[in-house]
Amino acid sequence: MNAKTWLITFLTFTSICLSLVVALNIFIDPIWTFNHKNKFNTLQRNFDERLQKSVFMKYRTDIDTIDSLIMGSSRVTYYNQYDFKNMKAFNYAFSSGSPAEFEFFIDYAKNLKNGHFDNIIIGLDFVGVFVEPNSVKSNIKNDLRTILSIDDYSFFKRYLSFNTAIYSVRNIHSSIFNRAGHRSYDRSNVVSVDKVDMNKVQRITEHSSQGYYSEGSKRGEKKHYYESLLKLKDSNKETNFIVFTTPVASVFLEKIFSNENLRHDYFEWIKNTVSIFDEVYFFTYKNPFSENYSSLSKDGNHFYPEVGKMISEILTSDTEIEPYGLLINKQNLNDKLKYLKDNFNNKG
Amino acid sequence: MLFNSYEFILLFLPISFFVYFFLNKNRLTTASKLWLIFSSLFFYGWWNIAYLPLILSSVLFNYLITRLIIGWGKSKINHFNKKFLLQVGLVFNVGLLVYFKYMDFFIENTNAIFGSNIASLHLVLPLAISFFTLQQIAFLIDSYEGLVKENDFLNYVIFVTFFPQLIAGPIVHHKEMMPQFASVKNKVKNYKNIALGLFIFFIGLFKKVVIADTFAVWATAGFDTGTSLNLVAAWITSLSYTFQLYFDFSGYTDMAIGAALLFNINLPQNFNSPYKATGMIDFWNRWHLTLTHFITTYIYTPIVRSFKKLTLHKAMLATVITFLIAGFWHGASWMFIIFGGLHGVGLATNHYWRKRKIKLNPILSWFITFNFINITFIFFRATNFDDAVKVLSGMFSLNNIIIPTFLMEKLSYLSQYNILFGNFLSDVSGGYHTPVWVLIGLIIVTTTSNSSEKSDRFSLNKKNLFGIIISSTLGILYLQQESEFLYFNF
Repeated sequence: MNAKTWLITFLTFTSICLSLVVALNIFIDPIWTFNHKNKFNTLQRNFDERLQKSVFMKYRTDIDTIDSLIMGSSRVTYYNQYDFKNMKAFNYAFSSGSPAEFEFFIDYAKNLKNGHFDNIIIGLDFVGVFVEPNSVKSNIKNDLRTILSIDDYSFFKRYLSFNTAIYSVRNIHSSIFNRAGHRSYDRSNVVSVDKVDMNKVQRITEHSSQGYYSEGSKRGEKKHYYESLLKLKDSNKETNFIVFTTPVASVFLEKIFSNENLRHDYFEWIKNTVSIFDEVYFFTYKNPFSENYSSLSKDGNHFYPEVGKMISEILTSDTEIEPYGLLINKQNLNDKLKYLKDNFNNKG
Repeated sequence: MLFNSYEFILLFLPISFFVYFFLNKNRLTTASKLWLIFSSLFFYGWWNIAYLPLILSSVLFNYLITRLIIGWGKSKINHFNKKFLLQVGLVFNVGLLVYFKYMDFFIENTNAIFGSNIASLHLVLPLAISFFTLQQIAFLIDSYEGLVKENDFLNYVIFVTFFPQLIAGPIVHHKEMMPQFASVKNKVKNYKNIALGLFIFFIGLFKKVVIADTFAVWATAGFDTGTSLNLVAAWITSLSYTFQLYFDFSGYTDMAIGAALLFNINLPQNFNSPYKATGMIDFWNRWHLTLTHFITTYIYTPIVRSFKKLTLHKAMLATVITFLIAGFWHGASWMFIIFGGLHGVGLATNHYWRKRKIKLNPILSWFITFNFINITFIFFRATNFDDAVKVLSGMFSLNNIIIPTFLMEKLSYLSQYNILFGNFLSDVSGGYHTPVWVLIGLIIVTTTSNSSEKSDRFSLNKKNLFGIIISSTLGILYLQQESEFLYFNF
C-alpha cells in the first residue's frame, strides 16, 4: 500500500467510526438535548442529573410556562412533576443534592426564565444535615463547571465522547428490555424504577441503617446546613416555599431515637426548618410509609413513585395529610414536637 | 493549547500543516518559516497572550547575545568580551528562571529561617519557561565554544518556538534541529512522514487520554484526599502515579514527535522503556533522555572538569550535585530537591557498584530499580512532606490492611491479625477494576515495545492501519475530558 492510499484509508475509516458514534449519541440522546423519541431511547439512565436536567430545562422546556421548581436529593427524583396539582412544575432534584447546591440551579433556572418562580418545592432529608461542608464545596465547584459548560459551544463535544456512547448503549438495553433499574427517566423527565423484592428491601435497609447516620452522631455543629436554607429563602423572597421532609423506614427511625445526639439533631432539624420556612410538611416519623417501607421503597429511604404521588397531592391539593404526615408550623410546633416524642417513646 | 484537544487536532494542526506546505510549494520559503513562527507563537499565546512578549524578548535577547559572541569571535575580539557576553546571557536566562519560578520559594525559606516577613510575589509560572530557557542556554554556551555552525535568525526563532516541542520538550539541541529547518528537502510534503507522524501522534494521544488519565483518577484521589491510606490503597496510589507520569509524559512526547514529523522535522527520542531499567544508570539512559543529555553536557561535565584530579568519589559527588540541580529544575519545592537528591545517590551507588563489579541477578536488579523509582516518584508528586509520608507510611505499615469483602467468608481467620474486610479502595475512588489496570500497566511497561521501537519498525501495512484507526478513534472519543499534561507544570 502506498502512503497516500494508507492515509486516505485511515482518514476515511476514522471519520466513519467517529460519525457512527455521534449518530448513535444523537439518536439515543442520553444528555437530553433533543426532543425526539424512539423505541431505543424510551428509558434513560441517570448518569449526571445536574447536567441532564439543566440541559432538559434549557433545550426542551418552554420555561415561560413553568411556574414551580421541585428541588431535592435522589429521594425526590422519584416524584412525578406532573402529579403536582395547580401548578406547572419541573422536577430539578438530583442525586446527593444538598441545599447549598440548590441555589446555583435555581439561579440558572431563573436566568433561563428571566424571572422568578411562583413556587419552590424542597424535599429535605434528615441525613442531609450531616453532609461534610468540604464535600459540598467540591460539589458546588463541579456544579458551576456543569452549568457553564452547557452554555458553551463546547457542550456539543459531549456527543463525540466515549462515555456518552456507553450511556447510549445502556439506554438501548434498558429500553429494549424495559429495565428501569434503580432509576430511569422517560423522555418527559419522569422516573420509573424496577421494584425490589420485599425481603431484599428489608435486608438492604437493615444493613445500610448500621452506619447511615454515623457521621451525624459524631459531629457537633451543623450550622452550614441551616445557613444554606436561610440563604435560599432570602434570595427568593418573591417565591412561595413548600417544604417537606422525606419519609424513611422505621429501621432508620429506630437508629435516630436510640442515639442521644441524633435525637437531639432530629428535633433541632424540625425546629430550625420551621423557623426558617414557617411551615413544613413533615413525613420523617412513624407513619404508614415508614412501617410499610419494604413494599413502598427500594432501600428504606428511596420511596417508589406512588409514594411521591401521594405526597405531591398532599402538598398541592386539599388531600388530608394525616396519617401520612404532620403539618408543622410555628403555632403548633411545641404540640407536634411533644407528639413526636410520645410517638417515638411508644415505639421504644 | 493542548495537544489533546479538538481545537488542536481538528483545527490548528491541519491549518498549520496545509498553509506551511502550500507556501513551500509556491517557493515562498521565507513566508513558510514566518508562518511556522506565527503558528508556534499563536499556539503559545493561546494559553495566555500576556506572556507572549516574555518569550519573544527572551528569543530576541539570546539571539542578539549569541550573534555578538559569534560575530566578535570572528573579528579577533579579546577573550574577556566573549566571556563577558556569555556571562550576561547566562545571568539573563537563569535570572529569568529564578525570578518567575523560584523567587517565592526563596522568599518563603528566607522568612522561615530568618523570621522575616517578606511578601511573596505570587507570580504565575510562564508556560514552557524551563524548556525554552534550557535550550537557549545550550545554544549560548555552544556559541561561546565555537560549536554553532548555523545561526540564521528565522531558523533560530523556529528552533526555540517550534510548537511541537515548545511547551514540554523534548529539549532539542540546535545541532540536530537548525540544519533540519534549513534543509530544502524538508520543504516538500512527504507522505511517508505524514503517515508515520500521525501513527506516532495517535499512539501518544491514546497513551495520554485513555491510559494516563485513567491512572490519574486514583493517583489524585490517593495523594490529595483522605488523611490516611490502607496498605493496598497506598500501593495503588504510588503505582498509579508512576504509570500516570510515564504514560502522560511519554504520550506527550509521542504527540510532539508525531506532529513535528508532519513537517519533516525529526525530534529526538525522549523515552526508551524506562521501567524496564535494571539500574539507575540504565534508568536515566531511558527516561527523559534529552534532559539527561543536557545535564550531562552542561552541568555534570563542567563540575567534573573543575576538579583538578578526578576520582570515583568526586565523580559520585558531581553526580549528586547534578541531580540536586536537576531535581530543583523540576519545581520550586523541597520535594523536588529530595527527589533529585535520592536519584543522585541512587546513581552514585550504581556507579560505585559498577566500579566494584558488584552484580545482581537481573530480575532482582529490575525489582530494586523499579521500586526505587516508584518510591522516589512519591516525592516528585507530593505537594508537601506530609502527603509523601501519608503514602509511604500506608505502603509499609502492617497496621492498616483492608481486603475485599468477598474474601471474608474464606479468610475470616485473618481478623485476628487486625486485617479488616471492606471497601479497600474507597480512599482512591477505585473499584475491583483498579488492581487489574495496575497489573495491565505493569505488563505494558515491562514487556511491550515502546513507540520508538514501533516507529523504527513502521510500515504501511494493514496491521498498523488498524492500530491507528483504533487509537485515533478512541483517543478522539476520550478527548471530552480535557486534562493538562503533567510536565506543563515545569
